[in-house]
Amino acid sequence: MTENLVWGIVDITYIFLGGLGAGAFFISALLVLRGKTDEARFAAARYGALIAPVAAIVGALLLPTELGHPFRAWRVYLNFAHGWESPMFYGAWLLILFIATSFFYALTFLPKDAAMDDQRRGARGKLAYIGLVIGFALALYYGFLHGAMPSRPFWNTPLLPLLFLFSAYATGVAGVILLRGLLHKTSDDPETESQYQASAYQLLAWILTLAVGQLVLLFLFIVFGAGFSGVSVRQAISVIMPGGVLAVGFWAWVVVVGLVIPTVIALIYMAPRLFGDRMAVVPRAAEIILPIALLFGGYMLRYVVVVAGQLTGPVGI
Amino acid sequence: MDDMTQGPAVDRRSFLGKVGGGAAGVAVAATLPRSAQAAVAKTETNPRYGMLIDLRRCIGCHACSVACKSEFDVPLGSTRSWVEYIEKGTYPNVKRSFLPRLCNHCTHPPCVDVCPAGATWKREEDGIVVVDPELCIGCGYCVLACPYDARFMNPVTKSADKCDFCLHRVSQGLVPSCVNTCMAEARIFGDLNDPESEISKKVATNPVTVLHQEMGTEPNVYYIEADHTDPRIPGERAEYIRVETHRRKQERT
Repeated sequence: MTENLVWGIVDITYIFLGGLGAGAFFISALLVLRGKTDEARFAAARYGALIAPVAAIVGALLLPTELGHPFRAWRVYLNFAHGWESPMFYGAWLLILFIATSFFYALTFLPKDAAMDDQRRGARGKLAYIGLVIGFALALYYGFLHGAMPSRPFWNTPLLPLLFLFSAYATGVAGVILLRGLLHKTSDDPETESQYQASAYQLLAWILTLAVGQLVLLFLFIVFGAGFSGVSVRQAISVIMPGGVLAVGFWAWVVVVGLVIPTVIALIYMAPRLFGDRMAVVPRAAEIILPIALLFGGYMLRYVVVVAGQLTGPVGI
Repeated sequence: MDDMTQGPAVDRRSFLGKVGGGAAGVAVAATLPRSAQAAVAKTETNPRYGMLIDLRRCIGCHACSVACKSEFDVPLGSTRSWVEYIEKGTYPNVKRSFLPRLCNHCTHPPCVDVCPAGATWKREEDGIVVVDPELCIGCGYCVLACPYDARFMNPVTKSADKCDFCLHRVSQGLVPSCVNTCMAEARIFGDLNDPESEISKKVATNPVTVLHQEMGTEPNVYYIEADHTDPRIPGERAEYIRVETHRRKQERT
């Protein structure tokens, strides 16, 4: 099934890491720009700020290994004459700009005395605004990269950039939650702990929004693709429908593990505050299991989409 | 035999550079008969090379595939030119037809649009879509963007590769290798911009089709009596359809 793939595990991993970086930057920047100044939120913002450049740099280093001529990759950056027609030209620039922005942004979090209202907050805020825009474009770009080809009906839909954008932000938030779950030291001070739980609720709310958003996008993708489309798109979507070669990968890993389970976990722990006025308490186990399921599902989403797009093409001859 | 000896002696890549000289010569030659055709309004002066494959004549012998393989030393498992067999029907109502395939040298090539490195382009001189393996970064974008599956990643050069209408031969006034070798004379190569050329006359006077017309790529490879049957189309009437691609990639995508 995979012997004819032009874009393989490297492309899948790269778009996962690029999306993770953009998503981690997104949540970090939101916490910096709009959040309160307590320590728990700053810690979450710091995790996001550190994940962003690391994920983007690892992805960027990985990417050339899939090229036939990795040492010619720099040519893309200087191809102003013809590159404007190719999504990859923009993606290459966005990636390098995102790495630069997120790198300097992360530096503002590194000093030991770093806090929301320290003297670096001005630079941090400016970098947050710039990185939000670049990260948004980068997360959207992965859908353009794959979707810009009429020859690949599975990818050739405007839903794809949105799906990758939502998934990128969800995996970024999940990355921050996972680091919190693994590294958080429970405090005896009830004030600190309640601040931590307030930010945990905030992060779960983002997970809920982004996961439900993805479920809606996938619903539209499948209903329009399998139901209301021409024969090429219907044939392409059939690989993820029951009986298709990627059906298990899609329904079990992407939908159930990657989206439904995180949605349910988020709802369970948000319910006391969402539907009542009690405080939501998110246990450490949930802060570890939820992001792992969501990150795995996010990776599988990219796997399924990248492989399915290459297995299928325009029907007829 | 002259054709055979001349082909390999010429470095194909060097012609990418000296486009001007060769193509200008061809252009002048093509203009001469055209001047007599003043009635035909023409804006382009450059040739637009194309191919017409007459499947009433094709016997599915694969000589074109073999000639192409040897002309370019195409690595094992890859194909610039290939022949598909289409079998359909149930005995005694059966039909078998052939579909030789190559790059369509589209008027709107999707492969060129997506190339981030400027390594592939449609030559203004003659409409041939070329790849410069020295500029290609080997990202594979063009391979995915081609609706005809005409491109592949060359495992030796690590660059994208495909049919280039035998540019090294055509720029010397010869026909492509597959045309030269076709014993059934099923392949006609020529200038579609010249109304007096054999290909233009045949395209004008025969019911021709192109592959994947719905993609809007406007191919410059035409077929007479091509069987567009595809087993992936649900509801095709034939009970039995089998397509043999004769490539390592055994199914159309």
